[in-house]
Amino acid sequence: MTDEEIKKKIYDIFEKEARVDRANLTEDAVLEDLNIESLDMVQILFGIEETFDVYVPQDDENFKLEKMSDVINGVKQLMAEKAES
Amino acid sequence: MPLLSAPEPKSLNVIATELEADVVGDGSFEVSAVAHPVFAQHEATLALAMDKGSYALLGTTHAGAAIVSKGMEIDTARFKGGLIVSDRFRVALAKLTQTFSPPISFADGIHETAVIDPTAHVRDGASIGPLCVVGADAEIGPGAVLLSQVTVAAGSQVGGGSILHPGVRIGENCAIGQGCILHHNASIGADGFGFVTADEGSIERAQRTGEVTAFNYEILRINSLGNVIVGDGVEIGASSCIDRGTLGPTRISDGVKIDNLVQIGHNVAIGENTMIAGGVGIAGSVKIGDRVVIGGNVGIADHKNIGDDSIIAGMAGVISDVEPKSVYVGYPARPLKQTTALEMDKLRTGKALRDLRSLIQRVDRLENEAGERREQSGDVE
Repeated sequence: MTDEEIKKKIYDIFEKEARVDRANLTEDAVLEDLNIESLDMVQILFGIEETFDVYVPQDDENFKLEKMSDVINGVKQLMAEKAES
Repeated sequence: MPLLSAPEPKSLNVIATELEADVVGDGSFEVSAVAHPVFAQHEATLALAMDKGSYALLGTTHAGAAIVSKGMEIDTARFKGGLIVSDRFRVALAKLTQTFSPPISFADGIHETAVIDPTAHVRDGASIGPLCVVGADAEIGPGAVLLSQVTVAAGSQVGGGSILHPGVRIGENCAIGQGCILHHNASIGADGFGFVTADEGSIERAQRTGEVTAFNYEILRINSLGNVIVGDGVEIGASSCIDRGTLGPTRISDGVKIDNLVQIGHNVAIGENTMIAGGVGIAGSVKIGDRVVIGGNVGIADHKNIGDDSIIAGMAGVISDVEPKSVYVGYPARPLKQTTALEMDKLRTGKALRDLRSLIQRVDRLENEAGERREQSGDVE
């Protein structure tokens, strides 16, 4: 899966699960500014797990999600770790 | 707080300075009202157009000036006055609505239908409206306003500058601070909900054994001998109730804001600047810290401690103490991170069960196919 495909799938998940306007989905977008409800964020994280077949850690200090770029890079990292294992 | 007299006109320059905002165009233009662009009735109005929806309606407004958000395209020629550009909509809204609030209508002095006990003290500048009742030794502070049908029972005090809207009831020996606003039918100082069974009752037995094997045949009333003390600058919403303490006060500290239909039980103590949204129920003896934010319809069980600066999300059910500077959600209320992890685990469990079912079906199919192959080859176990 290319980087662009990963990004598109992540944006699809944000749009579907939290009804975020596509125009606001950029790599620089701050998640807090997208006004996503906490339960919608749960659905987003689960959507990422299902789509990319990965496990998103909840209490990992190295896995902080503040900007959209963190989400994209985090997914790439999880996919790479899965490929290595 | 609501104004007791009509607002003075202000120039855009003065308003912008107060809001720490910028002016584009004629900053000397004066306005005496703020309004949604559609509802502006005259030119001396500042149209509030800081969100996309109201900004789009600026073309139809009668207002001579507008306040918009930073980044919005500005056409100053459209307005006789200038434009204020701010980047903090909610703060601007709070300050502007305070500045330009329409005055509350009330008459000076004591209305002829009000019943004031001869021993009550009504200080200078206080206004007492129609059909109010002020009991013995009660004190109404300077500049306090009691609109119609307000009751202040014997021995109670209302601080200077406070406004009690129609139907507010203050029970005996309670104290309301200065500059408070109590909305329609707020009840301060009704008795607390305190009852006990003569013998061990159903709740005590169930707490001890987990079973209901005792029954509440005789119920004794615990009278409320305490009072309610409300600090300065407190706002209490319509039909909210704050019960008096059993032996001491139920205490609401300075700056607390309470929405409509909130029930606050006996002996509760609420710290400064805490905000409580509509429909919240707080059981007896709960201690709430400073600057706490409690969302709508939250329920808090008795004797719990809610830490300073914590946030409890709407509809949460609090049955354990809440840590300071934390966010609690759901029922039972838990820290947000913990709830997120639990919700994720629920979804993962659902997926794992679906995967397991699919695996079982696959194993069954493979076993059947293997059995058929054995039968065909005559290899019977």
